[in-house]
Amino acid sequence: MNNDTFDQTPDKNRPESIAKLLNQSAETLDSDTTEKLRQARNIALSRKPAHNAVLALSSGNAAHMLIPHTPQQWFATVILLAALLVSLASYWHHAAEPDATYQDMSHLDLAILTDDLPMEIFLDL
Amino acid sequence: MIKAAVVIVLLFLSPINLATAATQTWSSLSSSQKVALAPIRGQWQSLSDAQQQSFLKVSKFFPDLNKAEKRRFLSRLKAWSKLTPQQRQAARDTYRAFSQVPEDKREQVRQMVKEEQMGKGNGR
Amino acid sequence: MLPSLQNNHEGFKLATPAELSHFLESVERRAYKQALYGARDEQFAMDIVQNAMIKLAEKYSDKPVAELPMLFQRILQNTLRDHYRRQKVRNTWTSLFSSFSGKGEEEEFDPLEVLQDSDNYSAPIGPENSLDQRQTITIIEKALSQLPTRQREAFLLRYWEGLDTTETAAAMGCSEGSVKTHCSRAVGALAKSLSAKGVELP
Repeated sequence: MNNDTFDQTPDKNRPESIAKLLNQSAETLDSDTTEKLRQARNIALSRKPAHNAVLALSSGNAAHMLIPHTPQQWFATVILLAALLVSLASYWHHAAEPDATYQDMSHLDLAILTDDLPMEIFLDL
Repeated sequence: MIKAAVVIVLLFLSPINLATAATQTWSSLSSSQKVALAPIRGQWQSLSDAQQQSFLKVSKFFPDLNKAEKRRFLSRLKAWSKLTPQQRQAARDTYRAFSQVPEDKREQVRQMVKEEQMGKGNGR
Repeated sequence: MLPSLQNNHEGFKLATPAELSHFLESVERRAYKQALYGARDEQFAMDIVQNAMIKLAEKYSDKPVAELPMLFQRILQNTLRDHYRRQKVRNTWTSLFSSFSGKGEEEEFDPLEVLQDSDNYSAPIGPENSLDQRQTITIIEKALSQLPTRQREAFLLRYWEGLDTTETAAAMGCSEGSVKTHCSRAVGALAKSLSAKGVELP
Protein backbone atom coordinates (compact mmCIF):
# COMPACT_ATOMS: atom_id res chain seq x y z
CA MET A 1 0.00 0.00 0.00
CA ASN A 2 1.11 3.53 0.66
CA ASN A 3 4.73 3.92 1.74
CA ASP A 4 4.33 7.26 3.47
CA THR A 5 4.79 6.06 7.00
CA PHE A 6 4.10 9.35 8.70
CA ASP A 7 0.53 9.47 7.47
CA GLN A 8 -1.49 8.17 10.34
CA THR A 9 -4.90 8.53 8.73
CA PRO A 10 -6.94 5.33 8.48
CA ASP A 11 -7.60 5.77 4.76
CA LYS A 12 -4.16 6.29 3.26
CA ASN A 13 -5.55 6.89 -0.20
CA ARG A 14 -7.25 10.11 0.70
CA PRO A 15 -4.50 12.61 -0.15
CA GLU A 16 -4.11 11.07 -3.57
CA SER A 17 -7.85 11.02 -4.15
CA ILE A 18 -8.10 14.62 -3.07
CA ALA A 19 -5.29 15.52 -5.41
CA LYS A 20 -7.10 13.84 -8.31
CA LEU A 21 -10.22 15.87 -7.66
CA LEU A 22 -8.20 19.05 -7.30
CA ASN A 23 -6.69 18.30 -10.69
CA GLN A 24 -10.14 18.06 -12.18
CA SER A 25 -11.03 21.37 -10.65
CA ALA A 26 -7.92 22.93 -12.11
CA GLU A 27 -8.58 21.41 -15.53
CA THR A 28 -12.06 22.94 -15.73
CA LEU A 29 -11.14 26.55 -15.13
CA ASP A 30 -13.20 28.94 -17.23
CA SER A 31 -11.73 30.34 -20.42
CA ASP A 32 -11.51 33.88 -19.03
CA THR A 33 -9.19 32.67 -16.32
CA THR A 34 -7.10 30.46 -18.55
CA GLU A 35 -6.68 33.30 -20.99
CA LYS A 36 -5.50 35.60 -18.20
CA LEU A 37 -3.06 32.93 -17.08
CA ARG A 38 -1.72 32.60 -20.58
CA GLN A 39 -1.20 36.36 -20.75
CA ALA A 40 0.49 36.36 -17.36
CA ARG A 41 2.80 33.62 -18.55
CA ASN A 42 3.71 35.55 -21.68
CA ILE A 43 4.42 38.68 -19.69
CA ALA A 44 6.71 36.72 -17.39
CA LEU A 45 8.53 35.10 -20.30
CA SER A 46 9.08 38.43 -21.98
CA ARG A 47 11.12 39.62 -19.00
CA LYS A 48 14.71 39.13 -19.92
CA PRO A 49 16.83 38.29 -16.88
CA ALA A 50 19.17 41.25 -16.27
CA HIS A 51 22.26 39.27 -15.42
CA ASN A 52 22.66 37.85 -18.90
CA ALA A 53 24.02 41.23 -19.97
CA VAL A 54 26.49 41.16 -17.10
CA LEU A 55 27.69 37.71 -18.10
CA ALA A 56 28.38 39.01 -21.58
CA LEU A 57 30.45 41.87 -20.21
CA SER A 58 32.58 39.66 -18.05
CA SER A 59 34.04 37.88 -21.01
CA GLY A 60 37.72 38.81 -21.37
CA ASN A 61 37.36 40.94 -24.48
CA ALA A 62 34.77 43.28 -23.02
CA ALA A 63 36.70 43.76 -19.78
CA HIS A 64 39.77 44.78 -21.72
CA MET A 65 37.76 47.51 -23.38
CA LEU A 66 36.51 48.96 -20.12
CA ILE A 67 39.87 49.57 -18.43
CA PRO A 68 41.27 53.01 -19.30
CA HIS A 69 44.65 52.94 -20.96
CA THR A 70 45.40 56.28 -22.53
CA PRO A 71 45.20 59.60 -20.63
CA GLN A 72 42.17 60.52 -22.72
CA GLN A 73 40.45 57.40 -21.53
CA TRP A 74 41.29 58.19 -17.91
CA PHE A 75 39.88 61.68 -18.30
CA ALA A 76 36.70 60.36 -19.80
CA THR A 77 36.36 57.83 -16.99
CA VAL A 78 36.80 60.51 -14.33
CA ILE A 79 34.20 62.74 -15.95
CA LEU A 80 31.81 59.83 -16.16
CA LEU A 81 32.39 59.00 -12.52
CA ALA A 82 31.92 62.60 -11.48
CA ALA A 83 28.67 62.83 -13.40
CA LEU A 84 27.54 59.62 -11.77
CA LEU A 85 28.40 60.94 -8.32
CA VAL A 86 26.53 64.16 -8.98
CA SER A 87 23.37 62.39 -10.06
CA LEU A 88 23.60 60.02 -7.11
CA ALA A 89 24.17 62.83 -4.67
CA SER A 90 21.27 64.90 -5.95
CA TYR A 91 19.06 61.82 -5.88
CA TRP A 92 19.84 61.20 -2.23
CA HIS A 93 19.48 64.85 -1.42
CA HIS A 94 16.02 65.06 -2.91
CA ALA A 95 15.01 61.68 -1.66
CA ALA A 96 15.90 62.77 1.84
CA GLU A 97 13.84 65.90 1.60
CA PRO A 98 10.61 64.50 2.98
CA ASP A 99 12.22 64.53 6.39
CA ALA A 100 13.23 68.19 6.24
CA THR A 101 10.69 70.09 4.24
CA TYR A 102 9.62 73.56 5.29
CA GLN A 103 6.58 71.93 6.82
CA ASP A 104 7.14 70.69 10.32
CA MET A 105 5.96 67.13 10.28
CA SER A 106 7.11 66.11 13.69
CA HIS A 107 3.56 65.83 14.97
CA LEU A 108 2.84 63.10 12.44
CA ASP A 109 6.05 61.32 13.29
CA LEU A 110 5.22 61.47 16.94
CA ALA A 111 1.70 60.19 16.36
CA ILE A 112 2.99 57.24 14.41
CA LEU A 113 5.59 56.50 17.06
CA THR A 114 3.20 56.64 19.98
CA ASP A 115 -0.21 55.61 18.66
CA ASP A 116 -1.63 52.50 20.23
CA LEU A 117 -2.11 51.20 16.70
CA PRO A 118 1.03 49.35 15.65
CA MET A 119 3.33 51.18 13.29
CA GLU A 120 3.00 48.55 10.58
CA ILE A 121 -0.59 49.56 10.01
CA PHE A 122 0.60 52.81 8.51
CA LEU A 123 3.31 51.24 6.44
CA ASP A 124 1.74 48.43 4.55
CA LEU A 125 -0.81 50.11 2.33
CA MET B 1 45.12 66.49 -17.45
CA ILE B 2 44.60 64.80 -14.13
CA LYS B 3 44.55 68.12 -12.29
CA ALA B 4 41.81 69.33 -14.61
CA ALA B 5 39.86 66.22 -13.95
CA VAL B 6 40.17 66.63 -10.20
CA VAL B 7 39.08 70.25 -10.40
CA ILE B 8 36.04 69.31 -12.43
CA VAL B 9 35.10 66.59 -9.97
CA LEU B 10 35.37 69.00 -7.08
CA LEU B 11 33.31 71.58 -8.91
CA PHE B 12 30.58 69.03 -9.43
CA LEU B 13 30.50 67.97 -5.83
CA SER B 14 30.73 71.25 -3.95
CA PRO B 15 27.14 72.53 -4.45
CA ILE B 16 25.89 69.45 -2.68
CA ASN B 17 27.84 70.22 0.45
CA LEU B 18 26.66 73.82 0.62
CA ALA B 19 23.00 72.87 0.75
CA THR B 20 22.98 70.84 3.94
CA ALA B 21 23.12 71.92 7.60
CA ALA B 22 25.99 70.94 9.83
CA THR B 23 25.90 67.41 11.14
CA GLN B 24 25.44 67.13 14.87
CA THR B 25 27.55 64.72 16.77
CA TRP B 26 25.86 62.63 19.43
CA SER B 27 27.86 64.23 22.19
CA SER B 28 26.61 67.68 21.19
CA LEU B 29 22.99 66.72 21.99
CA SER B 30 21.32 67.83 25.19
CA SER B 31 20.71 65.23 27.86
CA SER B 32 16.94 65.15 27.28
CA GLN B 33 17.54 64.66 23.56
CA LYS B 34 19.90 61.82 24.34
CA VAL B 35 17.28 60.17 26.54
CA ALA B 36 14.60 60.33 23.87
CA LEU B 37 16.86 59.23 21.03
CA ALA B 38 18.88 56.60 22.88
CA PRO B 39 17.56 53.74 20.72
CA ILE B 40 19.17 55.25 17.63
CA ARG B 41 22.44 56.27 19.19
CA GLY B 42 24.24 53.66 17.11
CA GLN B 43 22.85 55.01 13.84
CA TRP B 44 23.09 58.69 14.69
CA GLN B 45 26.31 59.36 12.80
CA SER B 46 25.05 57.62 9.68
CA LEU B 47 21.85 59.63 9.49
CA SER B 48 21.68 62.46 7.00
CA ASP B 49 21.46 65.98 8.37
CA ALA B 50 17.82 66.25 7.35
CA GLN B 51 17.01 63.02 9.13
CA GLN B 52 18.83 64.13 12.24
CA GLN B 53 16.79 67.32 12.24
CA SER B 54 13.51 65.46 12.05
CA PHE B 55 14.49 63.19 14.94
CA LEU B 56 15.54 66.13 17.03
CA LYS B 57 12.21 67.79 16.36
CA VAL B 58 10.25 64.78 17.47
CA SER B 59 12.40 64.29 20.56
CA LYS B 60 11.04 67.56 21.92
CA PHE B 61 7.73 65.90 22.67
CA PHE B 62 9.23 63.02 24.59
CA PRO B 63 9.29 64.40 28.14
CA ASP B 64 5.54 65.08 28.11
CA LEU B 65 4.51 61.61 26.95
CA ASN B 66 2.86 59.25 29.37
CA LYS B 67 4.49 56.00 30.33
CA ALA B 68 2.84 53.86 27.66
CA GLU B 69 3.56 56.43 24.97
CA LYS B 70 7.19 56.66 26.02
CA ARG B 71 7.45 52.90 25.87
CA ARG B 72 6.00 52.78 22.36
CA PHE B 73 8.13 55.69 21.19
CA LEU B 74 11.34 54.06 22.31
CA SER B 75 10.46 50.65 20.96
CA ARG B 76 9.53 51.97 17.52
CA LEU B 77 12.25 54.55 17.04
CA LYS B 78 14.89 52.24 15.66
CA ALA B 79 12.57 50.68 13.10
CA TRP B 80 11.37 54.11 12.09
CA SER B 81 14.90 55.26 11.50
CA LYS B 82 15.60 52.29 9.27
CA LEU B 83 12.80 53.07 6.85
CA THR B 84 13.51 54.91 3.65
CA PRO B 85 12.44 58.54 3.51
CA GLN B 86 9.77 57.53 1.02
CA GLN B 87 8.39 54.96 3.41
CA ARG B 88 8.27 57.48 6.21
CA GLN B 89 6.47 59.95 4.00
CA ALA B 90 3.96 57.31 2.95
CA ALA B 91 3.29 56.51 6.59
CA ARG B 92 2.75 60.17 7.36
CA ASP B 93 0.27 60.48 4.51
CA THR B 94 -1.57 57.44 5.74
CA TYR B 95 -1.74 58.76 9.25
CA ARG B 96 -2.98 62.10 8.03
CA ALA B 97 -5.79 60.41 6.11
CA PHE B 98 -6.62 58.34 9.15
CA SER B 99 -6.98 61.35 11.35
CA GLN B 100 -9.52 62.90 8.96
CA VAL B 101 -11.89 60.02 9.70
CA PRO B 102 -14.52 60.61 12.45
CA GLU B 103 -13.50 59.63 15.93
CA ASP B 104 -15.97 56.78 16.40
CA LYS B 105 -14.80 55.08 13.21
CA ARG B 106 -11.22 55.42 14.28
CA GLU B 107 -12.13 53.82 17.59
CA GLN B 108 -13.69 50.89 15.74
CA VAL B 109 -10.44 50.34 13.90
CA ARG B 110 -8.45 50.42 17.11
CA GLN B 111 -10.78 47.91 18.66
CA MET B 112 -10.53 45.55 15.69
CA VAL B 113 -6.78 45.66 15.68
CA LYS B 114 -6.62 45.07 19.41
CA GLU B 115 -8.83 42.01 19.11
CA GLU B 116 -6.82 40.74 16.19
CA GLN B 117 -3.62 41.05 18.16
CA MET B 118 -5.04 39.25 21.16
CA GLY B 119 -6.20 36.35 19.03
CA LYS B 120 -2.78 36.05 17.46
CA GLY B 121 -1.53 33.74 20.16
CA ASN B 122 -3.68 30.83 18.99
CA GLY B 123 -3.99 28.88 15.78
CA ARG B 124 -1.15 28.93 13.21
CA MET C 1 1.13 14.76 -10.09
CA LEU C 2 4.52 15.97 -11.14
CA PRO C 3 7.52 13.83 -10.41
CA SER C 4 9.85 15.35 -7.87
CA LEU C 5 13.58 15.89 -8.39
CA GLN C 6 14.60 13.95 -11.41
CA ASN C 7 17.84 12.11 -11.08
CA ASN C 8 18.51 11.81 -14.76
CA HIS C 9 21.16 13.80 -16.54
CA GLU C 10 18.62 15.91 -18.38
CA GLY C 11 17.30 17.41 -15.18
CA PHE C 12 20.50 19.23 -14.37
CA LYS C 13 20.90 21.15 -17.60
CA LEU C 14 20.05 24.82 -17.36
CA ALA C 15 16.50 25.58 -18.36
CA THR C 16 16.00 26.86 -21.87
CA PRO C 17 13.37 29.47 -22.55
CA ALA C 18 11.25 26.76 -24.11
CA GLU C 19 11.55 24.63 -21.00
CA LEU C 20 10.69 27.57 -18.76
CA SER C 21 7.66 28.26 -20.88
CA HIS C 22 6.62 24.64 -20.78
CA PHE C 23 7.05 24.52 -17.02
CA LEU C 24 4.96 27.61 -16.43
CA GLU C 25 2.26 26.28 -18.71
CA SER C 26 2.15 23.02 -16.78
CA VAL C 27 1.92 24.66 -13.39
CA GLU C 28 -0.12 27.80 -13.92
CA ARG C 29 -3.59 26.35 -13.33
CA ARG C 30 -2.64 24.66 -10.07
CA ALA C 31 -0.76 27.77 -9.02
CA TYR C 32 -3.86 29.87 -9.64
CA LYS C 33 -5.98 27.43 -7.64
CA GLN C 34 -3.48 27.40 -4.80
CA ALA C 35 -3.51 31.17 -4.68
CA LEU C 36 -7.31 31.12 -4.81
CA TYR C 37 -7.59 28.73 -1.85
CA GLY C 38 -5.37 31.04 0.15
CA ALA C 39 -6.44 34.49 -0.97
CA ARG C 40 -10.12 33.63 -1.65
CA ASP C 41 -10.34 36.27 -4.34
CA GLU C 42 -9.94 35.74 -8.05
CA GLN C 43 -8.25 39.04 -8.79
CA PHE C 44 -5.74 38.71 -5.97
CA ALA C 45 -5.08 35.12 -6.94
CA MET C 46 -4.31 36.15 -10.51
CA ASP C 47 -2.02 38.96 -9.35
CA ILE C 48 -0.20 36.59 -7.05
CA VAL C 49 0.36 34.01 -9.76
CA GLN C 50 1.51 36.62 -12.23
CA ASN C 51 3.97 38.10 -9.75
CA ALA C 52 5.32 34.66 -8.95
CA MET C 53 5.81 33.86 -12.63
CA ILE C 54 7.57 37.13 -13.25
CA LYS C 55 9.90 36.63 -10.30
CA LEU C 56 10.76 33.15 -11.50
CA ALA C 57 11.48 34.32 -15.04
CA GLU C 58 13.55 37.28 -13.90
CA LYS C 59 15.70 35.58 -11.32
CA TYR C 60 15.71 31.85 -11.82
CA SER C 61 15.31 31.17 -15.50
CA ASP C 62 18.84 29.84 -15.71
CA LYS C 63 18.45 27.22 -13.01
CA PRO C 64 18.31 23.50 -13.77
CA VAL C 65 14.91 22.43 -14.98
CA ALA C 66 14.58 20.00 -12.09
CA GLU C 67 14.77 22.84 -9.58
CA LEU C 68 12.05 24.94 -11.16
CA PRO C 69 9.10 23.26 -9.37
CA MET C 70 10.54 23.85 -5.90
CA LEU C 71 11.77 27.35 -6.75
CA PHE C 72 8.46 28.38 -8.21
CA GLN C 73 6.58 27.04 -5.21
CA ARG C 74 8.88 28.92 -2.87
CA ILE C 75 8.24 32.13 -4.78
CA LEU C 76 4.50 31.46 -4.88
CA GLN C 77 4.28 30.77 -1.14
CA ASN C 78 6.30 33.89 -0.33
CA THR C 79 4.13 35.99 -2.61
CA LEU C 80 1.04 34.58 -0.94
CA ARG C 81 2.48 35.35 2.47
CA ASP C 82 3.11 38.94 1.45
CA HIS C 83 -0.48 39.08 0.36
CA TYR C 84 -1.80 37.77 3.69
CA ARG C 85 0.23 40.35 5.53
CA ARG C 86 -1.03 43.21 3.39
CA GLN C 87 -4.56 41.90 3.45
CA LYS C 88 -4.74 42.09 7.21
CA VAL C 89 -3.94 45.76 6.96
CA ARG C 90 -6.20 46.34 3.94
CA ASN C 91 -9.15 44.74 5.71
CA THR C 92 -8.75 47.19 8.52
CA TRP C 93 -8.94 50.10 6.12
CA THR C 94 -11.68 48.60 3.95
CA SER C 95 -14.08 48.13 6.82
CA LEU C 96 -13.21 51.57 8.07
CA PHE C 97 -13.90 53.32 4.81
CA SER C 98 -16.92 51.27 3.86
CA SER C 99 -18.65 52.06 7.12
CA PHE C 100 -17.46 55.64 6.86
CA SER C 101 -19.15 56.04 3.49
CA GLY C 102 -22.38 54.83 5.02
CA LYS C 103 -22.67 51.54 3.18
CA GLY C 104 -22.76 49.61 6.40
CA GLU C 105 -20.86 46.44 7.11
CA GLU C 106 -19.78 44.94 3.82
CA GLU C 107 -19.47 41.23 3.95
CA GLU C 108 -16.26 39.86 2.64
CA PHE C 109 -17.13 38.14 -0.61
CA ASP C 110 -16.03 34.54 -0.61
CA PRO C 111 -16.41 33.04 -4.09
CA LEU C 112 -16.39 29.56 -2.64
CA GLU C 113 -19.36 30.40 -0.47
CA VAL C 114 -21.46 30.90 -3.60
CA LEU C 115 -20.69 27.43 -4.81
CA GLN C 116 -21.29 25.63 -1.60
CA ASP C 117 -25.06 25.89 -1.43
CA SER C 118 -26.15 23.14 -3.81
CA ASP C 119 -29.65 24.55 -4.13
CA ASN C 120 -28.30 27.75 -5.61
CA TYR C 121 -25.57 26.05 -7.55
CA SER C 122 -25.43 27.65 -10.94
CA ALA C 123 -21.96 26.97 -12.24
CA PRO C 124 -21.83 25.17 -15.58
CA ILE C 125 -21.48 21.42 -15.34
CA GLY C 126 -18.92 19.97 -17.71
CA PRO C 127 -19.72 16.75 -19.51
CA GLU C 128 -16.90 14.96 -17.70
CA ASN C 129 -18.02 15.84 -14.20
CA SER C 130 -21.17 14.69 -12.51
CA LEU C 131 -23.00 17.05 -10.21
CA ASP C 132 -21.92 14.86 -7.31
CA GLN C 133 -18.31 15.27 -8.18
CA ARG C 134 -18.61 19.03 -8.54
CA GLN C 135 -20.17 19.23 -5.11
CA THR C 136 -17.44 17.10 -3.63
CA ILE C 137 -14.81 19.29 -5.22
CA THR C 138 -16.47 22.38 -3.84
CA ILE C 139 -16.53 20.92 -0.34
CA ILE C 140 -12.88 19.92 -0.56
CA GLU C 141 -11.85 23.33 -1.83
CA LYS C 142 -13.73 25.04 0.95
CA ALA C 143 -12.13 22.77 3.54
CA LEU C 144 -8.73 23.48 2.05
CA SER C 145 -9.09 27.21 2.27
CA GLN C 146 -10.15 26.87 5.90
CA LEU C 147 -7.04 24.99 6.89
CA PRO C 148 -4.38 26.91 8.76
CA THR C 149 -2.01 28.43 6.21
CA ARG C 150 1.00 26.27 6.95
CA GLN C 151 -1.02 23.08 6.85
CA ARG C 152 -2.59 23.99 3.53
CA GLU C 153 0.81 24.87 2.07
CA ALA C 154 2.39 21.62 3.20
CA PHE C 155 -0.53 19.53 1.98
CA LEU C 156 -0.73 21.10 -1.47
CA LEU C 157 3.01 21.10 -2.01
CA ARG C 158 3.42 17.45 -0.98
CA TYR C 159 0.30 15.92 -2.47
CA TRP C 160 -0.74 18.17 -5.28
CA GLU C 161 2.52 19.56 -6.60
CA GLY C 162 4.25 16.31 -5.75
CA LEU C 163 7.30 17.88 -4.11
CA ASP C 164 9.19 15.62 -1.76
CA THR C 165 9.72 16.54 1.89
CA THR C 166 13.05 18.24 1.24
CA GLU C 167 11.69 20.35 -1.58
CA THR C 168 8.58 21.20 0.42
CA ALA C 169 10.72 22.34 3.34
CA ALA C 170 12.77 24.48 0.96
CA ALA C 171 9.64 25.95 -0.60
CA MET C 172 8.00 26.66 2.75
CA GLY C 173 11.11 27.87 4.53
CA CYS C 174 10.93 25.42 7.42
CA SER C 175 12.44 22.13 8.56
CA GLU C 176 11.46 18.78 7.15
CA GLY C 177 10.14 17.80 10.56
CA SER C 178 7.78 20.76 10.44
CA VAL C 179 6.66 19.73 6.97
CA LYS C 180 5.75 16.28 8.24
CA THR C 181 3.86 17.70 11.17
CA HIS C 182 1.95 20.19 9.05
CA CYS C 183 1.17 17.49 6.50
CA SER C 184 -0.19 14.95 8.91
CA ARG C 185 -2.29 17.59 10.65
CA ALA C 186 -3.66 18.75 7.32
CA VAL C 187 -4.51 15.24 6.23
CA GLY C 188 -6.22 14.62 9.54
CA ALA C 189 -8.13 17.88 9.48
CA LEU C 190 -9.30 17.34 5.91
CA ALA C 191 -10.34 13.77 6.56
CA LYS C 192 -12.28 14.92 9.59
CA SER C 193 -14.09 17.73 7.84
CA LEU C 194 -14.84 15.62 4.77
CA SER C 195 -16.40 12.81 6.71
CA ALA C 196 -18.30 15.35 8.79
CA LYS C 197 -19.86 16.53 5.52
CA GLY C 198 -20.58 12.95 4.55
CA VAL C 199 -18.11 12.92 1.71
CA GLU C 200 -16.60 9.60 0.80
CA LEU C 201 -13.80 9.55 -1.67
CA PRO C 202 -13.32 6.67 -4.14
